Amino acid sequence: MRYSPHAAALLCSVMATAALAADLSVTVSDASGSPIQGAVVMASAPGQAPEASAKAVSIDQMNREFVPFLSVVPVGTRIAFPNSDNIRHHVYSFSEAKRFEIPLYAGDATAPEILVDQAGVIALGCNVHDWMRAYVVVSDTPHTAQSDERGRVLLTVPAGEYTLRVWHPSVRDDEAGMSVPITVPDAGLEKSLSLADQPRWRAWRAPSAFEEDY
Amino acid sequence: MTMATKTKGLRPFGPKPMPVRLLIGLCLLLITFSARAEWMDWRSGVGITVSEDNNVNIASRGRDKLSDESVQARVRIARRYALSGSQYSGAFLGAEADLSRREYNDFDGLSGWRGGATLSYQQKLGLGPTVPRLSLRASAHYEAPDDRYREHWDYRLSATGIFPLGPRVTALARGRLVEQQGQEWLTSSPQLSSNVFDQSRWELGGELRVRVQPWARLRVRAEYLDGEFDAFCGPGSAGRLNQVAGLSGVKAVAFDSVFNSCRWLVEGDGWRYETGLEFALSPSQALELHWIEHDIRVDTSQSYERRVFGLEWRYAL
Repeated sequence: MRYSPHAAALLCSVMATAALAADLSVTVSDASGSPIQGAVVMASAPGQAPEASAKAVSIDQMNREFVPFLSVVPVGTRIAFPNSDNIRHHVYSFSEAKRFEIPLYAGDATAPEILVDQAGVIALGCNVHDWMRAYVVVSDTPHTAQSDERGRVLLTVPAGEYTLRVWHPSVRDDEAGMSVPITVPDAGLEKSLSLADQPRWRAWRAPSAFEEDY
Repeated sequence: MTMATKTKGLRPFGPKPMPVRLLIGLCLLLITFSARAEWMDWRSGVGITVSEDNNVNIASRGRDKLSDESVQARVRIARRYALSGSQYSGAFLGAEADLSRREYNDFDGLSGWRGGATLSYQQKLGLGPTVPRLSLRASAHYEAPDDRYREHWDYRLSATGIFPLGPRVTALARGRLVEQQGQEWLTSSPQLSSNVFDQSRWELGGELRVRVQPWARLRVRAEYLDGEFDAFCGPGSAGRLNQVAGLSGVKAVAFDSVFNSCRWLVEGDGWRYETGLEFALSPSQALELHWIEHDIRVDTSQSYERRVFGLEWRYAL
């Protein structure tokens, strides 16, 4: 029986990859132990860069709010800001990951775009409507996901050493979120993380007498 | 009861020259800027306020004080503009119109319409929600209560500094000039003007706004008032009116048919304290509980305390 050396090499490679892939299960909770849904969990290691989509990701402005409130994108993604409202918005960010300003504009026919070329968290605002807020988490790893209603995230990663980072928009920590080093063995790893219990203030939007008053 | 009837020497009922000049000046300023102005949005809304006033006739002594409840419905619409150029200027313009109707429970003569317009200029000292802002506002409103002698123009010019102290706390400092153009009342003393709503005063104060919960905001305001005030001055007899007209410090006196009393215009100063607690119900609805207290002392040595407690529902259209 003859085996092709190419087929043998491919088989070895697939077996080796399968052997190295491990499950990384992360549970995110607050200080009281309640699960946190929607937390962004990123496991990064040197040499594991994500692939940016060729298509721009949209963050719309509808009914004077950014939609969606939270976006998770890989480094190198283009983000478009269509404006579906029939009024004008002035989008900006002061965040270190991306500082930009899109002066007053209306309509979504020519939605302005930005390129996010640095990992981090970008806080968005509108200079006309101060209550408008949104966040973009720019990830530098392909191993990124958001926690479910039980606060759980399941990532399949090659066994090895990682930096595990967690960020959630309504929990105040440092801007970069929580960061811990971990080692994922071949058998996988279950990790529980508790975020600091300091809720980030997000005021409810409502018609205010105050704004009429000055 | 005999009253002197004023038929001569009536001042034309209309705007005072100074507020009109200020308004025209601001209009010209806005028109000048408007070539560079880009519209931003419309803001419109309606509101209903239920109030309890413990001294609706503004009397000094407790036994003279009359209380009443009122309901006010209000509609407003505002158009806002940003001044643009090659770079972000942080300058915003606003034009607003509002109309309201207030109904009193017992004193129908106080019920009436109020409508007018406000122009504003706001300078944001940077980008974002936490930068300081300076604001200039000029407004002209016509008040038309059912008691027609109470009809008057109301002009306000204010300058406000708004200083966010963090995501939850904002401090404000404000100066405001209030000018009212009233009219001569039918019955008064022959010795003195009967135009008790021809008033002018300054209001200087500060305010703190604290977001106590994501859904609730508290404001506390204190303002020092200095100028002219109208108030109850005793029974509405001709003898009383003549007696009051002879007192030092009284600038106008008239028979007030709403309260069957004497009403005077006097100079004084004092404080107005205001507390409000606003509850966000939804992006388009809010409730506010507020309490206002006036504590005014006038040149004729009387002091006036007045408390108004209200509940307002607001809806943004």
